[in-house]
Amino acid sequence: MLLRPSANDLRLISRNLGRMMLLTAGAGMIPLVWALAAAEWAPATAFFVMVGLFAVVGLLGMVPQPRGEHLHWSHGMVVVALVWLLVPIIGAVPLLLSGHYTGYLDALFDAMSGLTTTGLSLAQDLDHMASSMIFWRHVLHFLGGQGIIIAALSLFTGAGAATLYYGEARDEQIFPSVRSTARFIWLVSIINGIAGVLVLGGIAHWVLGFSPLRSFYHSATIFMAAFDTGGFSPQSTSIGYYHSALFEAATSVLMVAGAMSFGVHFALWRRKSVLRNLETKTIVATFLGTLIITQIGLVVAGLYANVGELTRQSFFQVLSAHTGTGFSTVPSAELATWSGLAFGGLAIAMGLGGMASSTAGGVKSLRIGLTLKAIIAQVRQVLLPEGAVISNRFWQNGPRTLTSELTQAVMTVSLLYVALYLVGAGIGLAAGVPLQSALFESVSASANVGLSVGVTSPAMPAALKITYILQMWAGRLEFVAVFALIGFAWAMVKGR
Amino acid sequence: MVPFRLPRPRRVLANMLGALRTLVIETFIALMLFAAATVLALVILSVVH
Repeated sequence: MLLRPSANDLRLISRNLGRMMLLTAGAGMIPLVWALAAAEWAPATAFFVMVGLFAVVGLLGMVPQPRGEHLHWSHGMVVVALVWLLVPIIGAVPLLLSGHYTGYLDALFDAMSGLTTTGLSLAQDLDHMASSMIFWRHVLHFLGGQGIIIAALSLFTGAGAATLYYGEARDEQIFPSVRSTARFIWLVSIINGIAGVLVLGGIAHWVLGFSPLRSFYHSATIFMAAFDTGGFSPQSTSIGYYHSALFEAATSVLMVAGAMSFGVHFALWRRKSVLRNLETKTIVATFLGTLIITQIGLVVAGLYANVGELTRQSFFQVLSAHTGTGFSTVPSAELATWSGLAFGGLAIAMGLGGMASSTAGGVKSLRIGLTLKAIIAQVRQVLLPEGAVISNRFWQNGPRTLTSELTQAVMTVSLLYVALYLVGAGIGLAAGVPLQSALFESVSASANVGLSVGVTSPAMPAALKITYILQMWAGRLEFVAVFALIGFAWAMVKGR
Repeated sequence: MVPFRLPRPRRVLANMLGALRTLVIETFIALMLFAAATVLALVILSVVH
């Protein structure tokens, strides 16, 4: 039996939702200031409307805090799921007003893709989009990658703050306090940001010959998309636009940094080794495995005959897929010509994803490692004598035990991801997309990657656009918050 | 008991060094992965052709 939410439950959710919306209104000031500085008046008006909408929704939600009540687990989950729906809904308004989208659904698609750090896009004539509008798409990446909730928690916390933190698909707390953890995440991002902008900007200016302002614009946008494993780019040809191996190398370092969990960042910061960690071993093994599959596929298809070109293209594309970034150095049309095996290698890399508690999507390496460990334990149990005691120990920042509860939790989320990949592929098939492309695009959306073989376009059916929007949302939140919202809505209707 | 804390400038320096070390390791990881990709490409090309 479900209990109907009380008025106090609704007030708590509304108040916290309001605070998040006000904070996002503040974030919306960044592209507004950019537009004003660049004398882009039409985008500035659009951003003004958006900031106003965020502020109005935020103020309406700021009802008084119920006395003696604080956020419980379910409240936190519902707030997170709603924040991740409302921000794209309002954030899509300036995109729609830019005139680069055929309708609101397309603008919403890009806003959700930006916030969930996916990188799939329905924008038309991206190369002529106003710089402030491009910047807003990348700010969405940064907000989503860092986590809006993390941004909020670094400013204000209170009882129940941890429920919000975990609701945003983060399962490791680096410091005992949520606020300290949130601030450490920001510190790591800012330092990587300064280094990333300096290196990418330096290459753009001194190697590619860009002007200082243009170098900053390209380096800042590419940094936000790479470190937050997003995949949007200021040009329609993605990283291929720069035709520079040096630029690709610097971007690769940022993609690696983005796919590393903040716990690993902390360990490296404090001179602790992470080589023993199950997650580190798994991600290296799966990266090399999917790279081998992709390279064999490319060689068999006769696409790249020399070592240099084969290494450069396969390394960048597989790294981009595995880290969930979605940058590419080959156009979608060329990617579609990759052979079945190379295609499979990329799709598997996308589905597996980066490290847990990183900005990457997908099943995540820790879950893959634990699933393999559980399978091996099962096989050993069958093969060994009945009385044999099997050790289920593993190392992840210290000795851990693979309990049946942990196995169940890991298996459930992994299976949900596989189901999401297949459901999206099924709907793609129903929309007339060939099986291989439907599966590739569905995995790309659900795992928040953003690589495309051309299915994602303004011409695709509305039902498929809505499917991908929901896949991006559910995949980013790792299902729990989404199920909590569905359960909450059900309780509102059927609860007693 | 009063908890021990490093003087602020030393904490800032320690954080800066920590950040620099992390950036160097990230670059090293990317280089190692690229080196592995090159070796794999060499092996695969020589086996297939």
